[in-house]
Amino acid sequence: MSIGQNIPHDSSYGHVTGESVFIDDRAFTGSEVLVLPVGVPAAAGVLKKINFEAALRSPGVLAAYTAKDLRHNQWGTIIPEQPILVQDQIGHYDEPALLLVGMDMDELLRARSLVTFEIEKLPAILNIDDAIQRDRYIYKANPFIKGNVEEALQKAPHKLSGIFECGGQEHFYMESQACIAYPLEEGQVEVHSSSQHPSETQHVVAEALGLQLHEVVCVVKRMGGGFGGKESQGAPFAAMAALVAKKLKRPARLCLSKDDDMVMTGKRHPFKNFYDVGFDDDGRILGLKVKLFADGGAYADLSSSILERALFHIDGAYFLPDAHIEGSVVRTNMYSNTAFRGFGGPQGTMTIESIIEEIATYLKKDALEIRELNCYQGDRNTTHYGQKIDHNPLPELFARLKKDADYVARRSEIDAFNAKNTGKIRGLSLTATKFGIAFTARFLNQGNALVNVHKDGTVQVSTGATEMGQGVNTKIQQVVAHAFGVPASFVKVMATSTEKNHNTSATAASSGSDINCAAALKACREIQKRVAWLLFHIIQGTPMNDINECPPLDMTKLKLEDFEFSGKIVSHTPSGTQHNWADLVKMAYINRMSLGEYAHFKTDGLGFDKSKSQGTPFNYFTNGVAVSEVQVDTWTGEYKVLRTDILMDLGRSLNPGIDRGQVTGAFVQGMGWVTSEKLFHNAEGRLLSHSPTTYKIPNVQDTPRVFNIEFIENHENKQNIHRSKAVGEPPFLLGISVWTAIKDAIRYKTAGKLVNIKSPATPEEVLMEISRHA
Amino acid sequence: MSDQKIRNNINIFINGTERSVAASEAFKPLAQFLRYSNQMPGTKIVCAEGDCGACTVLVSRLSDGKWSSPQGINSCIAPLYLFDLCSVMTVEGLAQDQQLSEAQTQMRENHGGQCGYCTPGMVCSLSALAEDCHRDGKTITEKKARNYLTGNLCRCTGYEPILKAATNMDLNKWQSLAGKYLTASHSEKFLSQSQDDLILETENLNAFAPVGLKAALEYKSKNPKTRLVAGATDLGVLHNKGRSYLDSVLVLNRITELSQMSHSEKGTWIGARVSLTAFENFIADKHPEFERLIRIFASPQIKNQGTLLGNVMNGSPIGDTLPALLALNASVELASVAGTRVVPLTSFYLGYKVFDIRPDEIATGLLIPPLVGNWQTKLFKVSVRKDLDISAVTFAGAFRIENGTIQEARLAMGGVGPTVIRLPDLEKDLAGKSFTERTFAEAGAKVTQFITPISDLRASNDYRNKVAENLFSKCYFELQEDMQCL
Repeated sequence: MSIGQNIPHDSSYGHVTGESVFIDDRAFTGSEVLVLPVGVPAAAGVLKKINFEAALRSPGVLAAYTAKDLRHNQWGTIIPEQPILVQDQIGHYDEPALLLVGMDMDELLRARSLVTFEIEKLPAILNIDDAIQRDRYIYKANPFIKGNVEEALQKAPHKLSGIFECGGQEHFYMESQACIAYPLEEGQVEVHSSSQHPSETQHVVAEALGLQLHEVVCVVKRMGGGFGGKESQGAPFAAMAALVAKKLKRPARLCLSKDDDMVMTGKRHPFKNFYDVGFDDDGRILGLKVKLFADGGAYADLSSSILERALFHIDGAYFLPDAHIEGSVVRTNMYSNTAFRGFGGPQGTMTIESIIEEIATYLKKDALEIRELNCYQGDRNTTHYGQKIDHNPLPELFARLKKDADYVARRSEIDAFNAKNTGKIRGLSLTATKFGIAFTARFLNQGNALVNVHKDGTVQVSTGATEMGQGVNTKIQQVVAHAFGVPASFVKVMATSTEKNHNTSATAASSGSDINCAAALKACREIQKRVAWLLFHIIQGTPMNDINECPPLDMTKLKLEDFEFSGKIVSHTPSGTQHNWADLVKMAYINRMSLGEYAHFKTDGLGFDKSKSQGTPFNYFTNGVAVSEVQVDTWTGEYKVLRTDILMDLGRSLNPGIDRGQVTGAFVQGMGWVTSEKLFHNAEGRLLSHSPTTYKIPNVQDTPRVFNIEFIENHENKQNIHRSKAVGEPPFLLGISVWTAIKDAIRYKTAGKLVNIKSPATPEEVLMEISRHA
Repeated sequence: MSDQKIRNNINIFINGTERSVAASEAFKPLAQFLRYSNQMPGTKIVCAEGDCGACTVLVSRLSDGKWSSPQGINSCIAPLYLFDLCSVMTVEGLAQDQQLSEAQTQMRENHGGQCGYCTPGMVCSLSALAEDCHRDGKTITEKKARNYLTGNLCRCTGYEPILKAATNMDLNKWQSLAGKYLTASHSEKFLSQSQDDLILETENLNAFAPVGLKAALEYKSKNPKTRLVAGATDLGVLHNKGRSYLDSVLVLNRITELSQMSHSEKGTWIGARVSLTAFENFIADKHPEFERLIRIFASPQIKNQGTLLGNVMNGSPIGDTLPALLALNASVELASVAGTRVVPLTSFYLGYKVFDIRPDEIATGLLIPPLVGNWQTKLFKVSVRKDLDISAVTFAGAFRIENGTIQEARLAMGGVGPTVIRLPDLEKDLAGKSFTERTFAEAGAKVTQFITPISDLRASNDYRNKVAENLFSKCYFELQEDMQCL
C-alpha cells in the first residue's frame, strides 16, 4: 500500500545532506565557460548599437554575442514574437541584448560595467491605464455571457461599482534560471536546464540554433523551485547557453544571479478589474459584470491563457445567475509576465472575494453570511461557462470550517476588541478556492511514461513530469510501487529527458501528478499483465524450459483482477498461489517477455467551445476554504496574522505529507502576494526591488501564529488517478483570506464606508486608507 | 615589528579537515570557495547579499585558546580571509557515515524540504538551534525555532513543516558538533598561529589582518584609503553587487583590543569588533528595549558576523541601531597614531554618509552612558516586513518621568532625512509637560516641521510623515502599558 502513505520526498536524503545536484552544482568540465547576459538600460525604444569592444578587451572575456549570432531570434509558447536577444525594438528595461563569455564571474561582472548602448528612446508604457489609453492590446478574450446581466443589474435592489487592483509577484524560486549546454558530436546539443518544460526548451533551443528537434536533448533533473516561472521563461536562457556552446564548442553555463533574474524575467500579471454587481437585501448576487485587464508586459508569452483562467475563476466559489465577464491583456513595456501558481485564477477569485466584502459592508452584514448565501449549492451548481460542479463539497467546507474555527464566537470577540481604543484593530475573513483542474488548452492534457523493470525487480520510471519540489516524482514512485506491490524504495524516478519522453506538456496547471501518474500507471498495467500471464502459466504448469517458453499474452484468457500485487508478492487470488515478484521478473526475462513499457495518457471528457465560452474545460475542481485573523497597528499600518485555519478537499490524497506541504506553502506564498510582496519600479520602468533586501517574501516570523490544516474525506473523484485531486495551485488562492481580513479590520475604522485598498496591502497601503477615514 | 610573525595564507578547518588556502583564493566569499574551489556545492548561493540564508554555514572561532560555540553565518558575503583559524561546518559535515543527524532526520520526515534549495541552509540553522539547546539543556519551543530560522527564506513550504521538524527534534539524539569538530586536538593545531599577522597579496588585491591595534593604526595612517572590514556584512554585499570592490582592506576582526565589552559608571563600552549577537546578549539586562530592537534588527547570521560599530560607521539614515544610540547619548571613540578622541554621535553625522572622522582614524569602540533616574524608553522600527527588513522609519524616545510629568525627553528618528537625527526642539517642548495622550499627539503633529523624508522603494514621503506623527501616539500608548505593568 504505497499510495496514500506519508512517505518522505524521494530526494529528501539528498536535500538534507546537500547531495542533491542542481544545475550550478554540476562539476565544471575543463573547458567550460560562463555566460553573463547584459540587459538594455531603457524600457522602450530602438537599439542602435551595443558598444562592447572595451568589455571584450577586459581581462578574462573570451567572446561576446548578440542577436545577429542567432539563426532564429523569436520564441513564444503561444505567439512566437519575443526576441531571445534584443534585435532592434526594445520590449522592456533590462531585456537581455548581449552575452558576455568568460571563465570567471567576477571578471565578467567587471566587464559588464564597460558595456554601453546607443538607444533611440521612446516613451514607455508602464501600466494598464496608459496601455488602455494608447489602445495597446496583446489579446482580447471572447466574453463569457450568462443570462442578461444588464437587466439583472437594473432590477437589482442594490448595486455597487468599483475597481479591484492587484499587483504582480516575483516567483522568487530559490534557484534562479539556470542551464548548461554541452556541445555533442555532429552539432548536436544537450541542455541541462532548470525548466518546467523540457520539450519546449528543446524546441526553442533547436529553433534558435537552426537545428532540427532530434538534434537537441533537454534534461531536467530537478529545479530549485519553479512556481510557473520556469514554464516558458527558462527556454530563452537555455538558447543563449546553447548558442555559446555551439559557437565555442565548449560547455556553456548560464546561471542568473537573483538580481538579474528578477529584472529580466516575467512575473505574475497585475490586474485592474472594473465591476458592477447587483444584489438583493440579503446579499444574494443577482448579476455581475466585470471587465478585466491584465498587464501582459512586452510580449504575449502565456498571457492569453492566463487571462482566460481569470475569467473562469471570477466566480470564486459563488453562483452567478447572470453575468457578463470580459477581459483583455494589455501590452506594456514591462518584463513579459508569465505563468505563476494560480495562472490568473487568483486575480479572478480575489475580485469576487473583495466584492463580497463590499456587499457585506454595504448591507452591514457579516461577509461570511453573504458567502454562505452565494456559495454553489443544490441546483445552483453550474458555472458561468456552463460546467456543472459534480459532488460539490463547498457547502460542507464552509459549514465545517465555520464551526471548527469557531467563527461566530471569534467575531464577537473581535467586535469587542475593536471597540476599545488600543491602537490595534483585528479583522477576520473566510474565503474559498474552487480551482478548475486541467489545461484549458485541451491538447496539453496528455503525457507519456516509460517504465523499465530491471532483473532484480527494481524499477526505473521516466515521465515528462519535472520535479520542482512539489513531490510529483514521489507520487509517481508511489503509484508505480503500488502497482507492482513493491516498496517505494524499489522505484526510482529518473531525470526528465526529451529523449525518453517527448512532446510533453509543461509540468503546470497543477496537473503534473494527474497526467504523469496516470501515464505511468497505464504502462505498469501492461507489465502487470505480462507478469500475471506468466504466473498464470506457472499455475497451469505450462512447460517453460530450454525448448518451450511462456506463450504470447492472450488477454481473452487473462483476468488481471484475479491477481494481486502486494508485499513483493504476486498472488493469484482464486488459487491462492503466491510468487515472489523479483523471481517472476527474472523468469519473465528468461522467457523473453518485455519488462519495459511506454504508455501515453490523455485526460478524457474535456471540451470547451471558445466561440460560445461554454463547455467543460476542467476535469474536476479542487476546493478549499480558509479563515484568517489579523491584527493591524493603526499607527503604522503594520499587521500580523494571528491565526489561519484551512480545510481542503483533495480527494484521496496520494501522499498526505506532501499534500499538506503544498497547502502550507501555497497559502504562505499567496499571503505574500497580497501583503508584503511589492514590486517597485522607477519612472523609467526599471525594477528597483530586485533582491530579497528590497522585495519581501514572507519569512518564518510572518506565518500565522496558529496554523491549522485539515482535509475532508472525499472518495468521489473517480475521474482522476486513484481518486486523488491536484493540489499545487488551489491553496494559493486561500492566501487571499489574509487580505480580506485586513480589509475587514479596516472596516472597523471607516464608519460604514467601503474600504478601498489595493493588493498588496502593504503597511503603507493600510495606513493611508485608515488615515483617509480618520 | 621584528618579533611579529607574518603569515601569507589562511588556515581553516572545513568539517574537521584542515585546509591551507593561498592568498589567491582568500578574497573569495566563503560560499564561492566551498562550492567552486573545494567541491562542496551543498552550500547554495541565492541572493549573494546575506538576506536569504541559503548559504548558511556554521563557524566557530578560537578565542583564548577555546572554540566558540558554532554560529550560523552567511557565507555568500563573507570573504574567506575573515575565517583564518576558524572551524567551518557545512551541510556536508552534518551526517556521520551516511547516518543523518537529528536535524536532518526531522527535516526529512516532516517534509521540511521541498525543492531542496534552501534546505542545506535551513539544516545548518536548525543544527545551531539543536547545538545550543543541547548544550544549555533547553527545550526547543516554536518561538525559539522561529528566532533561529529568521534568516532563512523558503519559498516552498510556508515554513510550517520546518517548524514542525525543529520542534520535533529529540535532543537526546543530538550528537554535538563541538564534540566532533571542535576538540582540543583541533585547536592545538592552530594555537601557535593565533598571534600571527596576516598579509595576503595578489596582483590586484591586498589585505592586512593584524592582531594588534597599534599595527592597524600605523597601517591606516600609511594607507588612509584602505577599507576597514570587521564582519563585512555590509561591504561584502556592495562587493558582490559590484558597487564598491574590497580590493584593498584592513581587517579588524583579529584585533583582541577591539573585542572588549564592559559596564562601568561611565556606561557600556562596546569594542569595534563586538558582534551584534554578543552585544544583544550583553545589554539584555541594562536595556531590555534595545535588546528587543536588536532581536528584530537582522537575522542571526548577520548578527553573528556583523558588528554594532559597523552599523554606526555605515551611518545609513535607516541604520536600525542609530536612533537608539543617539537618544542614549552614545559616543564613538576614534583612534589614530596621534591619539584618541571621543565624538558624540549627535555631532558625528554631518550629512548623508559624511562623518566627523579623519582618514587616518579608526573607530575603536562605542560608549553608551547609562540612563540615571526614572527613564522610560521606546524604540520602533517600521518596515514592510516585521523581521529582517530595512526600515522605512525608525524612532527612539527616552523620557524621564516623575509624578506624571516629563522632566526630560530625548527623541531620535531615522528614515526621515539624510542622517539619523535628534529632535531638540520637540525635546525642549516636551520637557515639563504632563505625560498624557494629548502631549504626545501635539508633539507628533509638530514633527513634520523638523523632518525631510524622501519617497523611495520602501515608502512614500507621505507615509513617512504620517508614521512619524503617529509614532508619538503609539509611543504614549505603549509606555503607558509598560508603566502599568511595572
